Amino acid sequence: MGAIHGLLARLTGDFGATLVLGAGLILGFLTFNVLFLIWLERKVSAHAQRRLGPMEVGFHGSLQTIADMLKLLSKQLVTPLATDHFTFLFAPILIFIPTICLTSLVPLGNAQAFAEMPNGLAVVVVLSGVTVIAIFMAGWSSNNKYAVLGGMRSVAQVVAYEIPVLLSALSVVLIAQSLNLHQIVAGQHVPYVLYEPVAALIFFVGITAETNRAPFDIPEAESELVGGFHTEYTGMRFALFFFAEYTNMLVLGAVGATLFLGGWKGPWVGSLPWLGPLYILLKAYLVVFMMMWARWTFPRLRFDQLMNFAWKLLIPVALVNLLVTAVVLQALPRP
Amino acid sequence: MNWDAFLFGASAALALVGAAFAVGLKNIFHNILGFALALIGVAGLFLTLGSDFLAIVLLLVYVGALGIAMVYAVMLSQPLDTPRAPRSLPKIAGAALLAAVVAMALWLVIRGAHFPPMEGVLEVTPEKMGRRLLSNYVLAFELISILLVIAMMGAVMVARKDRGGTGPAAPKAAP
Repeated sequence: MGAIHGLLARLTGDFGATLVLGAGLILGFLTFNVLFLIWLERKVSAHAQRRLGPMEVGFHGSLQTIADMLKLLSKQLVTPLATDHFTFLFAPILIFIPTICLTSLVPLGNAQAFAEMPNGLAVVVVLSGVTVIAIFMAGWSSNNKYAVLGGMRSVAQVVAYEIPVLLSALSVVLIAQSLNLHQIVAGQHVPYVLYEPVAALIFFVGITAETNRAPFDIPEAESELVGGFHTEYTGMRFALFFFAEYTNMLVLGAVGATLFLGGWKGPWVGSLPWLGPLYILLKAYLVVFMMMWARWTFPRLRFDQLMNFAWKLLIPVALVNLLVTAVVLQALPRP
Repeated sequence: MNWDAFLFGASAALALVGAAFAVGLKNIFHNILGFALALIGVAGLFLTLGSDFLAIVLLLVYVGALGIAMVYAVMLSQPLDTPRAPRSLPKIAGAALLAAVVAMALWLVIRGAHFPPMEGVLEVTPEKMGRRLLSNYVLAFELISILLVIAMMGAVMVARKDRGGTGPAAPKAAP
């Protein structure tokens, strides 16, 4: 790794080399992750329905997604005539940018991350909201009523569910006394999920909704909206939306693990630092597995139920939880 | 290559191009996308000048607003394939005149102001900001809170009227 960095540094300078190498590593890992997650989703869904799922390609179908990817790559890219061409082509690319930035913020070990920011958590909240603009661009530029409806639902949903996510993350900030993701992890001698079970649950529901996952997948509800915002997309462009969804799941799962499950901390991580990235990955995949489990267990909500759930249940509960946290913290003696 | 200067220049260019798109393009949806671009550019300016919290807050506030603005734009504008109505000349002239007056006033103000160099680095952290808001500026803070509550109550009232006021409530959601 150091040698490659040195070679690049000759071309672009030290900062540029770090930028290129970091982006390359993140993109490579995310691509692998999407292939794995799609396989995992098919396996989880299959076992939830007492089937076996893909079994033919590779060991227990483990190479199935690669085959599917090759199929999608070779498909024709259809751009409908009446679309708004530039927005239509740009949306699937744009949907990736915030996710990649998010990946770079997750702490991987003691003072290790691709990027460290003093207000990391606030950046995470901003970036996780940006995706919705790309989704709406895709929906509107398709010039298709189902796509526009899907995009509108997505906006309404993300705007509503961002608030409980923010409020539940804030209760962690109150305990950790910091917005810095590294310090939040460092403060967790006990995972915060034990102090803040309600906030953890609200955060989990919120990120499930923000990633448009069932039971909150009404922006792409097949039975009502054909394919939702990606109805008009074909081939690899369609696959890019899939990519983005699964990448988002992992990254928000990793953020959740950082906030509530102790991040990169775990047994023996003090003497073996390379265990840190492994632990954060394991915890993130645990959250992702729970999201899949929920998807194949609960039926999809109706739109008004979804909105009522956010505004009339999650937000008040998150507010009360935040208030209780603040009062308890004030009552406790300061360490 | 000097990365700081490059990033500053790129952000400034992004802000200018975005602003040009926001006023120049004919499709209202493209205008909003241009506005988003300009915001990202301005946030980039804040970042390169070292006030990252301001950049974050700018984006945090405007991301949600942009989403809502997009929905409104789509509801208010016509579909892509219908021909657009031509703009009337008096309207364009009026807008140009107003813009010229504003630009003139801004130029006068900027020319008259003098910007003393800053002493030291002013570090803005959320903690400092919070302390200031709840001590020195507590009155302004509370007034803004009251304003927001009033706005929210107004929004609820307007939304309820459509459903028939005190009539039967909307279908109750299953738990």
